[in-house]
Amino acid sequence: MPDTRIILDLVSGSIRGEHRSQELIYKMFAGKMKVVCIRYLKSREDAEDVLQEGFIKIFNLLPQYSGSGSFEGWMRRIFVNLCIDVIRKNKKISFVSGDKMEIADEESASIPEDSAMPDFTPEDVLVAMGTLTPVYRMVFNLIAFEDYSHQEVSEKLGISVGTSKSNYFKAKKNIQRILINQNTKENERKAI
Amino acid sequence: MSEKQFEEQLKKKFEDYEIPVTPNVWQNVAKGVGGKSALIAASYKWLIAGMIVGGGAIGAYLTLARSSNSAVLTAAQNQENKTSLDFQDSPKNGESNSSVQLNSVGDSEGQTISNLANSSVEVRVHNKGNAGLQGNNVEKMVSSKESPIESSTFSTAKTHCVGAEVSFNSPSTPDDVSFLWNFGDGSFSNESNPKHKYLNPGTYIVSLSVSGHKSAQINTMNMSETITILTTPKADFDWTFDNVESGKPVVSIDNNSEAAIGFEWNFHDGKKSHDFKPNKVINASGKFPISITAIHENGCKDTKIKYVSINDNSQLQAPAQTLAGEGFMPESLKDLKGSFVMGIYDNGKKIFETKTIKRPWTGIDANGRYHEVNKQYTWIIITKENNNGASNYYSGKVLLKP
Repeated sequence: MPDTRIILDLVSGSIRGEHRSQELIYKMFAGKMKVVCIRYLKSREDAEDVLQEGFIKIFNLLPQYSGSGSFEGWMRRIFVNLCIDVIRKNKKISFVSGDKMEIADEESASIPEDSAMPDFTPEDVLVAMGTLTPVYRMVFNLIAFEDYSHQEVSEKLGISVGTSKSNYFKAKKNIQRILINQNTKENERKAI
Repeated sequence: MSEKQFEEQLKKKFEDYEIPVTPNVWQNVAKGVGGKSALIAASYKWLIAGMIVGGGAIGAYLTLARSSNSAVLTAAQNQENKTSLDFQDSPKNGESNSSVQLNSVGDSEGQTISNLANSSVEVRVHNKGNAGLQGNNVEKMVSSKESPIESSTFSTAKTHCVGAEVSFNSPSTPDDVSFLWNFGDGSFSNESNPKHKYLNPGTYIVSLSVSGHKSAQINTMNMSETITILTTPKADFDWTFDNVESGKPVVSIDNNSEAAIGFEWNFHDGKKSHDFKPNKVINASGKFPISITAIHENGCKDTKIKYVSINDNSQLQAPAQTLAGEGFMPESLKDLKGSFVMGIYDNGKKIFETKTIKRPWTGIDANGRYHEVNKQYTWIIITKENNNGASNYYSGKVLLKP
């Protein structure tokens, strides 16, 4: 990651309307922010739509960036909020507790404690997260990647703390199960 | 596998993970942001100034909570190696400047910072007088003692042409440092002495960030410099053989160069020309280079070479005679991968031209009358090959028989 000085120079250049600075900021972060959006939205097309909207918003909001604190973190929060808005609008999801997901409790609980850490790539995780419903994905994202507490998730999404906890637990177990299964299959293939 | 391990691993895997974005997203963002006007209107809540002070190798950042439009941080170094820093507020609606001095080193009230080489400096910006800045602004500076770098110059020449390979040299450093070059055009390098080609003219701010590890402490030093990339002209030309009798074909040139004010042509026989559109007579057979160097008013140059071939007539397998009404067309043109033009000349005057093997020369003129028979006519064929655009000149004579 380029150091803070370079980013701050580019930010101030962008505020002055320098096209090149804006493009550079975009190029530095677009690929990363796309990953963030895919984690929430699953669809890569939707992710690019949000990417477009998000960067326009970010360039317009740049004068509000305080200059202290991580620029990437600031940018990321804007994308996370946009993704959540999109899910809310598009899917007309009810944010009340009890969102249905096809994970049976016994299934999610069927991972032995002593399982080895599965070997996985970010792409594997994206595929696994794609099997979750949008609400489970949001809860999982906010807690696993954005360091939200269950209390904060509850406030942000309007669900109870208990729902947040159970959604996160089930989502995580489901992802783990998929990653472990995939590892097992790969090992079997290698053995043959 | 503990839950915590998994969660940590998950986050780690995504730390530097990126997925490529389709190019049109940026185009749409650029359109949406709308360039200068949208942002310039926004009030500046903050502003950052960066600078490099020669010799001392320090960097300063200035963060200001303010609403006016601009401010300049300047640095000057006097002969005793004392650096004074001055913050100049920009004039606003005709008001006079309000000047703010940077006070140095803790509680000291001094307005110059001395002994940069041996001190660590923190600078506070205070409001001097009533007009101008609001509030206290704290800045951190890194002195050269902390810096891993001895010197602060890294540039090669400041002006280059588009497409030229520009070399950048980092200052002499200890071994244990890492480099980050930002070439200002979206490209980066971690090499100590990288080379870079700029593809568009303009002014670029090249910055170098050097990080070193001394006494388990990471010190970073930043430098930047502006380099100017000048427009390079585009050299290009097309050529054809002028339609003249065989033996001394004249190469006629179309100069298609762009953004050039001067030209230098070089021919196979060592002759040069500075004309816009020279003509060249070629007396021998063979393959000859023609090169043009186009020169921009800024001095940048571009060169293009093309080859002219004057060929042995036997290659075309042209018959030496043809019956009137039968149709003259050299055999090998049927296999040509490209285009050709064949002209038939009578004492230097063109009497027939064709570009297709379906229309050979029959010896009959436009009015349906036979040309004079038992007479030799000159043919000139110019071919252009599809794959490389090379052009070939062939010429010979054909006897028209009754």
